[in-house]
Amino acid sequence: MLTESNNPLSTVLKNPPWLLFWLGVFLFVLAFYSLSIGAMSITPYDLLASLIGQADQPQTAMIITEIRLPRVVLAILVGAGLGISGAAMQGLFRNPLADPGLVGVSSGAALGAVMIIVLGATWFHGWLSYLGAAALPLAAFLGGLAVTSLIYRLATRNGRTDVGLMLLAGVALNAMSGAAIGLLSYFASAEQLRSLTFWSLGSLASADWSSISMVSVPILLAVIWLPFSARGLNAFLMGEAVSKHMGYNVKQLKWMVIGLTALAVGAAVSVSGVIGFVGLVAPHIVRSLTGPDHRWVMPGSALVGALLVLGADLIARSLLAPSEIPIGIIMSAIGGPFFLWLLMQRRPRVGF
Amino acid sequence: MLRTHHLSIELNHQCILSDLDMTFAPGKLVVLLGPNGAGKTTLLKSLAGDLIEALPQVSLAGDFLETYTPEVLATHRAVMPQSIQLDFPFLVSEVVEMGLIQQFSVSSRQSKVMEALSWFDMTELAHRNYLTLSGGEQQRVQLARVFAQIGFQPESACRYLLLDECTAHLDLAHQHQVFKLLKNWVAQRGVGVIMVLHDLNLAAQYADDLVLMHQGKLVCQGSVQQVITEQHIAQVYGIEVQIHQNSHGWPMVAPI
Repeated sequence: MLTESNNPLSTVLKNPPWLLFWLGVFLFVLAFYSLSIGAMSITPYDLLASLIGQADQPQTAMIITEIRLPRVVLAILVGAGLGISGAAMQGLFRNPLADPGLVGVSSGAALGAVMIIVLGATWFHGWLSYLGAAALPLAAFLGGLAVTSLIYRLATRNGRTDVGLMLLAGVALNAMSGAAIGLLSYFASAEQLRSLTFWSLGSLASADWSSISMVSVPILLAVIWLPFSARGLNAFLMGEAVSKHMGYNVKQLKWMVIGLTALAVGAAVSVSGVIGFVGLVAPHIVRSLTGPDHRWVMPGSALVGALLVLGADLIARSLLAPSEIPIGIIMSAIGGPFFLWLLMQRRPRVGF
Repeated sequence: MLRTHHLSIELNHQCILSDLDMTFAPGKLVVLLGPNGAGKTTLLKSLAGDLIEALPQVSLAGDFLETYTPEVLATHRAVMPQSIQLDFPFLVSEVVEMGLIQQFSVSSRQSKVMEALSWFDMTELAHRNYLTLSGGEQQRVQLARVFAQIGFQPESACRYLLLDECTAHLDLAHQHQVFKLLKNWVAQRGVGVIMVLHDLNLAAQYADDLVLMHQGKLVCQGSVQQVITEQHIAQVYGIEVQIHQNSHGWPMVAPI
């Protein structure tokens, strides 16, 4: 370990606080760059002027503050929520292949969304006309929470939640919601099918300040609170009994991790659709740099998740501009090979 | 003082432990002996507070375990289970550091980790990846973590180490190293040690007290000389043995 310390890059990478700092700086730079990219090119000067409300042209200011900034902020929020939830899930299930979808929140949210898309005009007419555009995200959010709490209930007996049972119950319920979604898509019209596909591939195109105000509370709650469970999750990696022996309140730990994850992922999925891969990959990237200590992995995963979603969204909207590619496709197309490369590079340190 | 009060445990309508009334004093090394399925591990789990049914039947320092929070209980007893599965590539020092449950400054945490590793002669492994260690080395790292959990608690607190076959993967030299350390902690620091062991000769050499169990019941509890007898071994294990007196004074069990 000491032999590599001459290399400045490896010094930064081996020092977790510095690593987090530079990830934050990188995120800030990417966000700024992201704001300047789009159908209309905007100079860094105009960009800064618009951000502090001193723009020469009101049109430029409008594009920045009402179109691009909400999208960048939403990308950061969604990515941070997915990333930190992935880290928490991998810790809770003691499995580096776990992702937030395991507790059913993604499939539940998808089911809620599909129900609104396909049955909205008939069964949920009142609900749809009352809530308008908020109906779909709200249904997705509630669907995610409902399925997660059902799985949690199924795996809890005598006040004890069996994490292994939860994993298996999650597989069963994911399959069941998959069947329901399949059935609904079978009866969907061509137009419904299209919006359904679009939703399941993920997109940040709907970003505006009202959607941000809806999702920021649950996501920020998770991003701020989950790191407090870091030491408990470290102990949890050695098993439930061992962490209990070390004085951790495992019941509270499980409840907190599952609850906050469901909140954050439910909120993220409700506004952006299904963006896979972030929750799985972000913790791996961080772990390969800092080691498996959750005190670094959790905040690091939030930052890396935000970077991934922000970067993927930048590509999604600029690659074939003016048309947009769904972000889920970008994420998998670039993330998959990158993840493979990472695994090959870091085999000894990833080791599972 | 750790006590069981008519401790009885049933699992799936099968009686695992029945009516155990025992006292474990601090400053003693007590070994639980008995054949497979005698209930040794269940007794140890009951004492550790792992079994909900046992919480109102076991008391520590006069209070039943159900009145303790996990945090407070952890300052009084540390537990080493039979096996620990850890699949994430922590460094050895990080694993041991998890055992430091109190608040310490960063620098004093580091020195305490090194001190805990030095108890087991492992300071040179501090920066190794835990997953690359051998089974025996991993077991010693876990022991260092468990010892660290109560080793830095104030001497006045009542402290217990509950160990389940904690030397199973260790070679001869390291087995004796661990037992010498345990003897030292019992004598110098007044820690109470309760451990499950299958090696009768190790038990005879190091234990202050022996507990012999059979089918969930106590057969006898007492000194090494009282418990390790040919009749007891035959009765509980169903095997004929000869017991020799070793030149250092403890009995040696040899199957015929």
